Amino acid sequence: MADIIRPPEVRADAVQIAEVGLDRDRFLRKLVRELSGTIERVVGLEDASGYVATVGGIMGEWLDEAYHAELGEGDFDPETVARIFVDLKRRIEGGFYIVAVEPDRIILRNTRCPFAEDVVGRPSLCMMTSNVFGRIAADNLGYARVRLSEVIAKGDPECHVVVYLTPQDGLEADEREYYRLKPGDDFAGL
Amino acid sequence: MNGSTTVSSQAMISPVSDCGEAASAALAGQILAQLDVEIIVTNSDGHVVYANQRAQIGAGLKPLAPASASFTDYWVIDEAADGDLMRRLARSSSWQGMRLARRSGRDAGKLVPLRGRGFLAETPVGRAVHVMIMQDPGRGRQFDEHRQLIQKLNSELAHRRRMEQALKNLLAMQKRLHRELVHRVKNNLTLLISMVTVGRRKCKVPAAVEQFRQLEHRIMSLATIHELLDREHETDHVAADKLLGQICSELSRSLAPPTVTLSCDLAPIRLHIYEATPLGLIVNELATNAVKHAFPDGRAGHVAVSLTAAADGTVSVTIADDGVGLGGQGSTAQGSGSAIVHALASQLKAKLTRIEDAGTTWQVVFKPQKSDGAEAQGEYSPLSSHPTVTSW
Repeated sequence: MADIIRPPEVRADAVQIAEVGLDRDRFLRKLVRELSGTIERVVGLEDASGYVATVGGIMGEWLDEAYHAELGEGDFDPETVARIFVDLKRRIEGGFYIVAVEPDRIILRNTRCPFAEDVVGRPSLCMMTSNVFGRIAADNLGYARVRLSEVIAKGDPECHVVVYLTPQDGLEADEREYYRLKPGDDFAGL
Repeated sequence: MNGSTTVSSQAMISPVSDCGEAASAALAGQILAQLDVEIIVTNSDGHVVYANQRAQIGAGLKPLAPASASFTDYWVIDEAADGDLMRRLARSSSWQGMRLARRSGRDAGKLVPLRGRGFLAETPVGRAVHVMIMQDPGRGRQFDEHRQLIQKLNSELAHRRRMEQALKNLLAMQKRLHRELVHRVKNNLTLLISMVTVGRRKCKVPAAVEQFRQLEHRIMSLATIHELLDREHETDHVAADKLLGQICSELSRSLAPPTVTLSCDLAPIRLHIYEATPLGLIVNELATNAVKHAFPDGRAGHVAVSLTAAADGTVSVTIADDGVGLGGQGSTAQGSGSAIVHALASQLKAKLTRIEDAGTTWQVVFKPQKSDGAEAQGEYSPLSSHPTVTSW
């Protein structure tokens, strides 16, 4: 007669103390990774980046409003904008630091992505940084062009981010522009 | 596709050089006109500053007519949702997808996949943010394909589940019918035994009585299999040990004189009825033969029946008596039982061996071909193969 295969017995407390490396942050990062990966595969990197850009723009507005609610309604200067970049990333466990703040640009580097290792192979998620930084910079300084020349998502050891503050002709492939609208601009003829 | 960021709102494309500005603008206009996708550019007021020929046609306008005044002449705009979307598009150079319904034209009301982005264009009063909307036929196609594929797979899955359930229902019904058939066959065999018994009791001819009795036992062997199947709600397999035990018990009760004992040593083995049936009949014939002929003149004795299985699956049945043996009569002493046993052994592909020592020992060795759980195939007959003409 065949032996009856019984499931292994598990102590009552073993489940709770099991080292499965799961918490809310890990779960959400995994979710974002799989979601972005799925979208990249289904619609391609460019369109996936567009979706993340849409969300990133909304996140940028939200964060800009949050900092203005605490620091005042007036436009922030480039130094403050740079410090906000570093601060908002710090709060979500990013490792950004300021390299330079010049009249026409803010230069930053990053040693640790808030998405941690889950960002590797998911370059569409970089549109989150581009849009958040670009939105905040443009809404306070009038214009922003964000260049992500190195990104951890593509295997670089650090991210290298330059936020240009004055327009110029032509855009590189790794650049995105952000504009501030005037009150009353609707673009839809309404 | 970020392209040039600063565009003249007159020509809608950057000049490639100062000296060729007009020519370049004209060329750009021709190129845009030739594109098979619609392109519309609107300024911050929602005024359409450029629409290529394809966009004009899509809106039901003359291809070379001036662009309509308002973006809302081309597309149905919901103030709350689409207005906010347009402003969002205007604030970034990232292409973002959208769908808008046509305001007019042949496809009025139809949703069209589009993508849009903002850009800075040169105007008489300086640079100003504009929005470029471009038809994007590919957008959503992959989603649609995935959706269709998933729908197809879901439909296929549902169909297969229905089929599986239907097959399960059919199988269950077949099992019920088979069990019912087993039950009826058992009842019919029992009835047949009763009829033969009545015939035996009425018969006055000793030889005929003996024939009746032999027939009774043979039918009983078959009936026992169906009784076991019926009792255990089985249709294909029976416990061979229970079968042989019951046959021996019946022989001991109805045939063996008090001086002859029958014992069984039966390993628990399950056999398909294709094999259990001839085996039961063989044991019935050989044990009956031993009880009847090995102990003449009231001689006391013992008949032992054993059932064993080897590691390789080979099944061995032994019927041994300590009686007088055949005394050199050989096969000539046997009647129809001999032919039946050989026929059944042949059907089992069994090796049939007789050993004459202190009595007679018969050994039937075969390898079951139909394992428990295997599908039954073909029609069943307890004597489905021709008897092998061998002497014993």
